[in-house]
Amino acid sequence: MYSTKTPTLRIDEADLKCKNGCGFYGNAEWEGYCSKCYREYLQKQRSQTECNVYGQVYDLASSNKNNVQISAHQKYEEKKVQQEKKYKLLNISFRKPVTKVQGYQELLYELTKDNSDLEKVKADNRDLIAMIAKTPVERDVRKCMHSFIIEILQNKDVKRIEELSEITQNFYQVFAKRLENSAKYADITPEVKEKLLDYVERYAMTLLYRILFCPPFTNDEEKDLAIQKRIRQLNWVSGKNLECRIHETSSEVRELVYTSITDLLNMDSAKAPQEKLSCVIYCCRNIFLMLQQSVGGPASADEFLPALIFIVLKANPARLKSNINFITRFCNASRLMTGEGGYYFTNLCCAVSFIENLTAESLNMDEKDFNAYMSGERVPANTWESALMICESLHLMCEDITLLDEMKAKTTEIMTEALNLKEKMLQFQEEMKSEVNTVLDRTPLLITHSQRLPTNLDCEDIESYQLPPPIIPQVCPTTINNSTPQNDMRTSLIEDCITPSPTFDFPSFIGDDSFDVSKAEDETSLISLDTQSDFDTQQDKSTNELLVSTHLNLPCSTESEQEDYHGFTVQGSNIPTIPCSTGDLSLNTTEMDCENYTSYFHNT
Amino acid sequence: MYLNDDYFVIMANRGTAQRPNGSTQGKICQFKLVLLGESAVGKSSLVLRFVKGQFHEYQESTIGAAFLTQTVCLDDTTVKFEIWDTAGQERYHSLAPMYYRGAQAAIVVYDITNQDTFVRAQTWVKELQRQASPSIVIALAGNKADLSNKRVVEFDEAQTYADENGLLFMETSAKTAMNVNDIFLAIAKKLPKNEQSGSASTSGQGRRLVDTEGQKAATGNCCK
Repeated sequence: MYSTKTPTLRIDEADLKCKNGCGFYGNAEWEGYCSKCYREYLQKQRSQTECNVYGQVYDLASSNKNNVQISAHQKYEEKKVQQEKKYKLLNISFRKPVTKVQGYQELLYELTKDNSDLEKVKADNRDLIAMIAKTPVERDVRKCMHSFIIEILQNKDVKRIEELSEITQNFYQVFAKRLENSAKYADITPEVKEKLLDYVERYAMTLLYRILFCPPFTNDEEKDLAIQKRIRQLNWVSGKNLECRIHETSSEVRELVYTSITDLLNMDSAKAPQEKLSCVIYCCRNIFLMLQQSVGGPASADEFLPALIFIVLKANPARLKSNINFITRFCNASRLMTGEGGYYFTNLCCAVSFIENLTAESLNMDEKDFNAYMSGERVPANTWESALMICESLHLMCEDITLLDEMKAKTTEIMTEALNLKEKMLQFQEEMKSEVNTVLDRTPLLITHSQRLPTNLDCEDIESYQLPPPIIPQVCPTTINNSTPQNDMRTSLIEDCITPSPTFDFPSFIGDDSFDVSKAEDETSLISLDTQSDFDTQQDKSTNELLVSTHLNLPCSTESEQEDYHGFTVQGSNIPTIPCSTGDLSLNTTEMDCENYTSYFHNT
Repeated sequence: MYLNDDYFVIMANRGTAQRPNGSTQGKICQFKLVLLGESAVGKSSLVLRFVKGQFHEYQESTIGAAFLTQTVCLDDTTVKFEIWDTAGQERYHSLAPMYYRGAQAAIVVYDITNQDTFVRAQTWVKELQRQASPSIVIALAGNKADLSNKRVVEFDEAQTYADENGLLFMETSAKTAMNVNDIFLAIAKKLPKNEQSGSASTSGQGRRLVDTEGQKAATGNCCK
């Protein structure tokens, strides 16, 4: 997380302030004073020691007697690593101050000696160096580079930074042309030539970094402090103000935000201009990755620039203007005009320019609000949300709140859906009711005329006497021997078997068996009784068959009705013919049936 | 931390592609092209269609549409476009000169269904004619031509304007790919490909210092 990285990348603001306490920022180079206080301080020192100091006030390497000057030089060294890892300060060797008298040769020695960054550049290009080692190429490259470095060292105090930049750019071009045209480089592949060009630039710039980066004779430092202050003032600006689409609540996006901030901060610790440039490229690539997640497609410049501005605001990189100026002045210009690096660097310059010229209008804000925020009078409620510098638990809280909000929204949605459904159901019910009512109104259920005469069970209706006897529930014997086919047992068995039949009604069956047509039409509950009467009439005819079928059902008295019925069906289907003259048959058995019938009533 | 070797290889190829420019085999010219226009007129869609042939069905590999390159073959020359997208929002308008500085071509995009974007496009054209390099090739693109039923800016109106100002003009549709390749090809044809005014090293070197100075001036102006 970012919070853990902070100490290595930043130093306390108190350390940056002028030692005199005048409120301005101090500079290690000026012994921790601001420029004004340091000038006064120097003048005091000078009058005290009455020492004849070489050069101007800004030339720090002026006297080797003065203790103060020596410590000033130590501070000068300090500046180089300022805002890098602080512990490095303790390891700085106490070096002999360089004087004009000593000249550039000594300065060159100074710069080359113990320069870990230079060693790193060499190590990175080990293969290239090995390839050209001990060839005329190496000698020529060395010669060119040496003459260039000497030129810069000679001119560093007499020429303006723009002229130094021009010398550098000229050197790049001349060297590139030399690589192209000189016979010495004829047998080198274009690829290696390009690497060589890159190496020369890298090496020379790393070597001269101390001289050319944020030199004391420019106002780079003031600009750095100005932009730093400006960004600090703008710390309340959120992604919403910039209309940049960053999903701050997503942890992945936040991780990428941190990564891109770190990449941008790394720019200050890189030495060679192309290394600084590559930090910018990495930063921008991460921003694109982040935007891809937030936007859901390749991000365009419309989304990219606001996001970059946001990142610059949140990173507040150290010595931003110095770094930009250093890249602009000393990076091979062709790199800045074209290519991915050039594009991203242009965007960074645009972002910085935008921040410098930011007004209420450019944030679509009210002038009054803007001024209130800038002066610190008011703090927007969402600052902590967008600041991204807040602790992890707050992030989690923020995430949870968003989650809860989402869930709440979903619940409300479900509730409304449910209510809707309920309403619809009610409506449907109503509709159905009214529809049924209309249908009923339209076609009222009217019994126009009775199709059959009402049946009076008590009357002397002959048909009712033809009905079979009602079934009398009987206890089924638990064990039945196959070898005792007794008559009463048989009847009980039959009755047991047909018990369900009264409750079952099967008019079609009856129809199939070609009952009397008039009977079939009377589909009343009596039908089942009719069937039973049929059954009873058939008893004698199919006793054997019945026995077989009932025996099958016997062992288990608790068998379901269906199985019982099944037996009946089997039996029923075994009835070969139920002749049309059922009535005649039933007439033969009328007496018996009547007896059964009456006994049933007696029993009940 | 630092750029990997691949990047330098790319740079190297680019460099070598430039250097023998004109002197050997088929010419390879590299041009910087800026895209200008109000936001949401479809600048990036247009470029994505041209470079990747995509519209709304983006592949994983396409992470950004702000900086893209595409090569077009024209007779014996290979024209390599380096396309710089710009933020279209009004608030970033003042930053545009930093983008079109040193650009050899510009496409000003507007939306045919939105009159304001056409007005905006006209201010872009004016600004380019006044401030950009005098030899810059400017093309006007009326995008979203597939939405002709919602058309507000008439074809003839835009055509007349383009003719008056010496612009290339086409109505394009990133959605249907209509005229997308054509407009880039037309620009490629119009761009000077002789050694002096083409991109590449010879003239570039002369210009470089001027550019650096220019940038210094630009950044210098805006800090205070």
